[in-house]
Amino acid sequence: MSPGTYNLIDLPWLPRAAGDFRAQLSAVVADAEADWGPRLRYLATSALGLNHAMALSRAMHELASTRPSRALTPFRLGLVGNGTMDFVKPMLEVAALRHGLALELCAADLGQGMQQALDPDSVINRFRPDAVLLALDHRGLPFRAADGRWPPYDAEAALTELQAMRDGFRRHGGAMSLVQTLPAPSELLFGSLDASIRGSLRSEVSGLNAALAEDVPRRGDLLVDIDWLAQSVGLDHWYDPRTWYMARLPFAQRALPLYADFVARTLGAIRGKARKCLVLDLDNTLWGGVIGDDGLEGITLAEGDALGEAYRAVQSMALDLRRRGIVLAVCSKNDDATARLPFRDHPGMILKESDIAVFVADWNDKASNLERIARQLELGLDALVLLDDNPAERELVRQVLPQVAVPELGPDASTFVKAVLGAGYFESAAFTREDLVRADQYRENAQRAELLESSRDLDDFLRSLDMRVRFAPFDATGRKRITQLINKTNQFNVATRRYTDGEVAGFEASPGHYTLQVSVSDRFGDNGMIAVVICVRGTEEWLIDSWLMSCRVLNRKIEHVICNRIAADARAAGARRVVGEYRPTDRNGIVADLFQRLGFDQCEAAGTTSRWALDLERFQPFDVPARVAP
Amino acid sequence: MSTEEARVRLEQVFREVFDDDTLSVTEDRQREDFPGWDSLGHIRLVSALEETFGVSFSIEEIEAMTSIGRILEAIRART
Repeated sequence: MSPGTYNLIDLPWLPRAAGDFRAQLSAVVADAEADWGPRLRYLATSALGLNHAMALSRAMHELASTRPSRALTPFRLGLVGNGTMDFVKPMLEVAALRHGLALELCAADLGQGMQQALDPDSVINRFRPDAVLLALDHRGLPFRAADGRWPPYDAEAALTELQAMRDGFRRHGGAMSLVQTLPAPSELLFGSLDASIRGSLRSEVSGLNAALAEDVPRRGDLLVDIDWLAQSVGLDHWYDPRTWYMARLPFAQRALPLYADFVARTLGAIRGKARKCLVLDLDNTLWGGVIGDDGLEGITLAEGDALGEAYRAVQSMALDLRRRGIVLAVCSKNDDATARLPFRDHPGMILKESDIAVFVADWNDKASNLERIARQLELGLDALVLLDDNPAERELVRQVLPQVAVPELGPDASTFVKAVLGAGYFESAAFTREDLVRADQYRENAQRAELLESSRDLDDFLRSLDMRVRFAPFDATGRKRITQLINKTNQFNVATRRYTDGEVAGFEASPGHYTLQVSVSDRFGDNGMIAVVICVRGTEEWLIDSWLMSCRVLNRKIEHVICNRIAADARAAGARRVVGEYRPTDRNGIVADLFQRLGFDQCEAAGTTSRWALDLERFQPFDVPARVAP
Repeated sequence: MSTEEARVRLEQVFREVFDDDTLSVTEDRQREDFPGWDSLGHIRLVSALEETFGVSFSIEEIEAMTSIGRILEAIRART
């Protein structure tokens, strides 16, 4: 990366690889005690070329073969491509590590995608992947007519082939597909006419992409928009005919790190690894200059002023993120009143104070303040992204709190938007009604916290909230949000079982399962769906397979309301016991004593898992500070 | 760039690509002398050479790089 440039292909938001990268890697491998996951993840959070990636991948395989990392979430990915995957594999493993995943890969031989999908005994189907990546471009799909007549290209057969592959992997491997959109061809046959004439490669590829955008999400699969990625790199840089002819590399080697990170973000999003909160520095980040020194008139934030426009673009981006459910916070070294001044009185400000869920302006160090922000929002540190123009602050936060994502920035504010959005911190696998109001809910939570301080007794406080709880079994309307909760809830989650969209659909119809989606509203607003329960029905005994709840409604006795409901329904069905399991992870300590608090008796422990039983004959429903809506 | 300078930089590239800090690169050594230098190793080697020396080789040149001597020749012709 040369100074002054900020091109996505260089992964410019990541620090460069350390000069002693290999020595650091050897040190991790040599340490037989510590969990290697966070340390390798830290090494992977730099811009690594293929040779470094291969070294890191080898080290990870060596370590994983002796002991798994508790800090990483496993993901099994099948790979189907029309090119050589040998280089994609280590780079994908490293990119996945950067996003908190321990990736296990199973790749089909070149050109074997269809056979792999349709044969129940194929290598990929037997691998039981969580997802299969269909990394195909126009050269790997039946696009081109064999004879010399017009038209040379037709997307119909390609679309059919992709559908058949997706169906095959779903039916025989139980896996969702991640379908890549196809990059446009690098050359035109007619010229501009290619865009509008049916049968040209350009128009057929774009027609196929449009059809995929409709069809893929509808059937529970996900798109990976490689078309956009190739455009962003530039088609002329994306394709490298030499290495395609020599070694069947489907795109230029230089784009490999970016490609891998782009794919890994989607895997991370599926596993709930996406970040949730953007923390903003103020001086020289949201405006030019220092408010404490330059005053309201002195800061740069005017329309028509080039730098002012750049800072306004940063604010617009933050507001757009807030609109889609990303929480905004401020963390600035300033006096509180000074820091708030532009928000109140500067006409050029796009962000308002009410857009900020937590506003921290004081002279404490940034790392402690970031911890405080995470605490107040009840988010993990790994949910935060810090946008800060000061390289020393960035380095400090990376050292002290490696869980926080801190993008490197370019030479001026015109690169900040690309730094935040280009890094894909907020990648999402779905967009639901809850996302639309989430940022408001975090603010409302802060208000509830204030109310709590003024009420003495917790029950009084909870009653004053006037909560209403709604229960419903799983249904198609709730499916997207149910799947989202199942896959991203880490803390209040007793068993941490993850299910795909298709599996959730299966529970809707299953007579052997009892399911609940739980929504809560109160006088500050509607929290939407916040909890999910799945039980396996037995005649004597119901087993709680999954019970998870969003941290937004912690400490509000919602778990007691839910327990009442499960017990009542199990009893009505003639069961005598409800059994729960606690399976510890490094994140779900807050529910270690959940069953005990709810009056379950411990029956046995198998390894780290403990089992708890609720005797329905003896169970007395809890008195709860909420009304249950029918 | 002198041949010796090119050889030293080439040695660094080899050590990086084949992950071996003890590799020594001399003009008389052949592709068979390096265990990691298979067909995919060749592609990685060429990518690293192009980046290090800031050049771009033709398919013919790439296929002709069967020894250290011939790589140095190709670099000389391009720089």
